[in-house]
Amino acid sequence: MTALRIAAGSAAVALWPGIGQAHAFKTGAAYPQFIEGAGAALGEPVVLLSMVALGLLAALWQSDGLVRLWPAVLGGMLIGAIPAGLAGPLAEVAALAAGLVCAALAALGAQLPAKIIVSLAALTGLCTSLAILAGHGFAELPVPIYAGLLFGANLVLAAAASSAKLLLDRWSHPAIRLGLRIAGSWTGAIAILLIAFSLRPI
Amino acid sequence: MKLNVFVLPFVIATALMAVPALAHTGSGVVGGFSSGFFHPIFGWDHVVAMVAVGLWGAFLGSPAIWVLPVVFPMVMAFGGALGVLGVPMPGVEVGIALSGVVLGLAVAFRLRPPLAVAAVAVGIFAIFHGHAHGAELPEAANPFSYALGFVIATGLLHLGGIGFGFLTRIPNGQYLVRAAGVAIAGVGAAFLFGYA
Repeated sequence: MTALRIAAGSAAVALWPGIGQAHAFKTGAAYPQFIEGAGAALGEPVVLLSMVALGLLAALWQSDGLVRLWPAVLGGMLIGAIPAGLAGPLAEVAALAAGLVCAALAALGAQLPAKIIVSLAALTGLCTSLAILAGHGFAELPVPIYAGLLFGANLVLAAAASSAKLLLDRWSHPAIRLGLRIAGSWTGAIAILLIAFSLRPI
Repeated sequence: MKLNVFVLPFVIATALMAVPALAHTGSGVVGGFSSGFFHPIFGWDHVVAMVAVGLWGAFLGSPAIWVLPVVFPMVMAFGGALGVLGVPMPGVEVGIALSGVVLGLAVAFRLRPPLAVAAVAVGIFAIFHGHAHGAELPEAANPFSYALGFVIATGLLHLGGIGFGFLTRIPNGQYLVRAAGVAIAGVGAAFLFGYA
């Protein structure tokens, strides 16, 4: 009976929460803008798919693949922000197509020359930037939003690549590499369907 | 706590007063995922073909057993894209039913053609299956979550077939797998001749 009373009391306390004050981050407008940018990137399927695909490709390509590709991705994203105001809805399809190529190469286990992979990484970054900023002129948005978008997209890239690298480094069994290739194949399949959804006649 | 004569009527009355749940209506992201996830699973003609590919891979051995699950989802998604875009494809239902028959018989008779032949055959059937799924897409589904659920379900069916196919590695296990092939061919034939 005592246990029941304690459980009932705990439930009553849990169901009556106040507003959390520990991490309010009310220090200015910049941080909410940063979070808004990061949230936009993390909630956008196009960003998720293209960055996950690129992350898998980076890890399967070389052990230090992410480190070698990252400058190109960042460069592509920064350059993509410049003409984004001119980009239309097809920018989304372009980003998905770039992600599809990355996913297909990851799935097939293709070992292509560094120049091609680095160029593809830059192109994927550029198309992703175009897709998420489509219609926004250069420097139209506050800097913290740009920073948030960059952070969110690269967080997905880093998470995918480092998770894959961790698995490959931790377990040397061929099934791990194969499982990552299957993940690449599934990512590519989702990208194909999303391209079709984007292009379907309404 | 024991149920007694006072508690029991209260429980029954509460149960009988239940009203329809409104929290999860099946729309939005969750609805899109479940719609995509269950679409391949609720069609027996699709299920048997996906599983049969995995079973056949077990008889074909390495590298086919692993090449197929890597290639199949993307080829099937390509067929799905054709369906979503409304590209007409004749004989889709016949192709799907035939896939059950052909793949089931391939498992039953332990056929071992060259990898290229097996991959092309499976690829053609994958396009038929994908087209049917794409063409039947519900209008209200969230595209991303639908695609996610669809691909995951297809992949899991495939992996399930491969897992069952590992029975070939135990004594007499291959007879179980070959019997499953016969059953799959039977299901395919039932769809082909209009009995299902």
